[in-house]
Amino acid sequence: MPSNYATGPNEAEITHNDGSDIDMEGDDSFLYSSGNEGCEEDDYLDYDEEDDAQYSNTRHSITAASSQTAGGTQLYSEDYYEEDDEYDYPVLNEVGKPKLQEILDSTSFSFTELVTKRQDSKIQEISTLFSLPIDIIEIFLRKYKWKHEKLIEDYMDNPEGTFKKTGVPYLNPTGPPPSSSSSITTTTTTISGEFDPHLPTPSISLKVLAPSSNSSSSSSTSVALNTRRKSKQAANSDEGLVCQICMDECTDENPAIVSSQSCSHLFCRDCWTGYLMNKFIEENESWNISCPGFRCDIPICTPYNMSLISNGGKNTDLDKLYLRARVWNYIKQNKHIAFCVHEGCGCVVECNDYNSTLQFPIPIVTCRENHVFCIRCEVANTHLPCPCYLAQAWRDKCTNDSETVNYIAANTKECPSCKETIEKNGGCNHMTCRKCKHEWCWICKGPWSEHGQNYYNCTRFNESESQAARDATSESRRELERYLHYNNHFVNHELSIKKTAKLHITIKHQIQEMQRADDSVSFHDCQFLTEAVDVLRDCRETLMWSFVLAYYMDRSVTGKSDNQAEIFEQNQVNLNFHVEELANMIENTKPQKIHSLKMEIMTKIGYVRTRRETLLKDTLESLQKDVWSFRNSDNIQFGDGKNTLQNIQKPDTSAVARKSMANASP
Amino acid sequence: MNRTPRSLAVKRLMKEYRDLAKNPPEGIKAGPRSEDDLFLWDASISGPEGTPFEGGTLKAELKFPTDYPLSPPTMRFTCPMFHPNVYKNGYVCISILHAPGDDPHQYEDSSERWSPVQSVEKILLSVLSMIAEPNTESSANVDASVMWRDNREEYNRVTRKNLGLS
Repeated sequence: MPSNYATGPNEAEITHNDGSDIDMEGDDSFLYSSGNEGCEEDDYLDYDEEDDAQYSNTRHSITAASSQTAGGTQLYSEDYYEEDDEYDYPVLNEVGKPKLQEILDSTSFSFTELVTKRQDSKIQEISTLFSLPIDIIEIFLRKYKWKHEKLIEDYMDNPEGTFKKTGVPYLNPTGPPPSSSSSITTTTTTISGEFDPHLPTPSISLKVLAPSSNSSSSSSTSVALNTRRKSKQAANSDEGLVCQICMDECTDENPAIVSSQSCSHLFCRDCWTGYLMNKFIEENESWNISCPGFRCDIPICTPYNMSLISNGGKNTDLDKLYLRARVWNYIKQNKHIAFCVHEGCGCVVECNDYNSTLQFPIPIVTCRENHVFCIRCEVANTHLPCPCYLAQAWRDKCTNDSETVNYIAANTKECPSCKETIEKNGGCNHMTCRKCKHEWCWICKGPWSEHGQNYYNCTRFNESESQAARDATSESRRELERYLHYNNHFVNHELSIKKTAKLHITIKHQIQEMQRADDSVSFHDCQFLTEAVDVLRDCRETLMWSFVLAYYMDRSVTGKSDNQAEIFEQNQVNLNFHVEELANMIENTKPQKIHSLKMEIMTKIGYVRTRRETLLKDTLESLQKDVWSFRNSDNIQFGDGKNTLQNIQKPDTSAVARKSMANASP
Repeated sequence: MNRTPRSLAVKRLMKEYRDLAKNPPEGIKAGPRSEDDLFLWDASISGPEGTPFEGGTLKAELKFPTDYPLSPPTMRFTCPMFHPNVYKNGYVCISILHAPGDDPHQYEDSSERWSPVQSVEKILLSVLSMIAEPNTESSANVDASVMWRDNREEYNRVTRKNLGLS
């Protein structure tokens, strides 16, 4: 999603959803306490006020003036989880009362800064723990996708293996790092026995070589390196060091920087810069950048090396790209932080506490631009009230085979004997299954032997044997029809939602017409129509996904002990009915009349909204109580059964899984 | 400091051209088609001994991107080539010409890919060895690959006919 960078990470800001003071990562408190320094005070205050205003707005009553999307989602968040009336944040989450949608504890410093701080503190911590330089830890963490527990565990088990796995040449952490000589600004020597994690690591750090190779200040290693270079390239480098990329001599302004001690590849600073810029921009490969040398896998993208190449930060373009890539990598690897999925929105959202699918079946978050999305699925709709794993299964299913299924339903029948899916491609009704050689009648599905010579007409539809054959094949056919039924509902609502924008325009015209007809009608008076469109949209989305939930719900198990399933279905039917009524009201009424219907429409809006909330509330409660069981696998098979649809893995609903979830940190 | 990629490419290509002219590797000739455009080269490779290409001259063109040597050039044979690792349109499919992360056949080890320290000379040498020993694991021309494996005589015949070598 590089488009997220359209605004640049520095402009965008991080938004914390959920009570992030539940300190899952252990280092969050550090961030919150120290993060404010970097932000502009004004900005911060502004945002708080604005936020406050929004909250009070939504908490009491949504006025027509509140912005459209905000109106919908905020309302939902406030009223839905009514238990927390106080705006006294941060609030700890109580089990079963997710406050995921609310913008809590919004911090307005740049997320680049925030993420960088978080990365640095983690690196520092582990560096101290392992007594290894930070550059190595950075590479470790990157390769471990910033999962520090895993890294620590692995390293404690087998330090050498960790080095090997990450491609870092082995460095013994117990002894002091070998004295490395020329760092970029000063020449430092390590006092033996004292560990300084900020020192460059010889095995992976770059080193600047003075162009005049015999300078006495160079340490013995770099002299050795120089001379070796010289003899190797004696043919064309009588004067100095030759960069292997531009094949030019290195100068004072453009010094040679040699790659790690273990590979000794040498390039000039300009070529290093070009190489890295190319990687960052063109290849979009920000992290696994290795030494440019042929077949050289030494990782080189470390803070120390970067500062060396950018000449201590003088090359700001490179630094910016590096920082961007570093932050981007962290966000991509960390499932608690996500870029807003809406196109062109550079916001970053953090939501710390949605691990449990049971507690938070649908972790909906709202970014600062009021875009609503599910942080677990990272797609641009909320799929309420359908849990993530079902929504995902549905999405896969629809992209995979909805058209195929339609075709199969319309054009095929199953062999009464072996259930092979058969398409009648012409000819008479006498079918012979290619697979099992069963002969049957296309019309009545009965065995052909009873049909005699009557090739073109089947007159035996109601005979008992034909009936029995039809019953036998109808089972799997029913599955298909069931899917199609729910899919049709889903697609219908989806289409209606897509037309929302168009409806908004229609409504705008209607309002203008109303005002032309009657001067006393103010713009404000007509806002109920806009509101209606938004409410319709939200309701349709909810309905859409409620059909998915219904499709996966296993009624043979579900609802026997409890009537939750019936309640859900009643809610669904009810909402569906009233939504269509409301849609009909605002779409099919003439502008002249619409104003007279205002009271009626507004009542309807209120009613529909309440219905939606009830549906969501009940559903979520049931999900959290885990009273429903869902069909674990899709039994629909096509043809020879090779196309069995993927099984749906319902994550961690068992008590064991839940327990382990509670113990494990993210 | 503010060197543009293009000027780096020009400088580097000039340098490589000079070196190739001074010490040409055996069986390989290469240079810009004209002095005005350093980004388009012609190369000719003489068919390696002991292969059906022996005695023939294989002509190819190399196109360099403006960010050469950070990105690899493309190489296309302008003479007819029937070879497992050459597409039917003449483009050469060899790991050294692929940037890491762009692998059409998912077969190559990223360590064998393009790196800025490669050069025209190294590319041509790699192509030379590829001509002698095709890599049938990732074929660009499946027909040629199958024929090379199953019917070497016919493969040799087609190759020699293509090159006008009887």
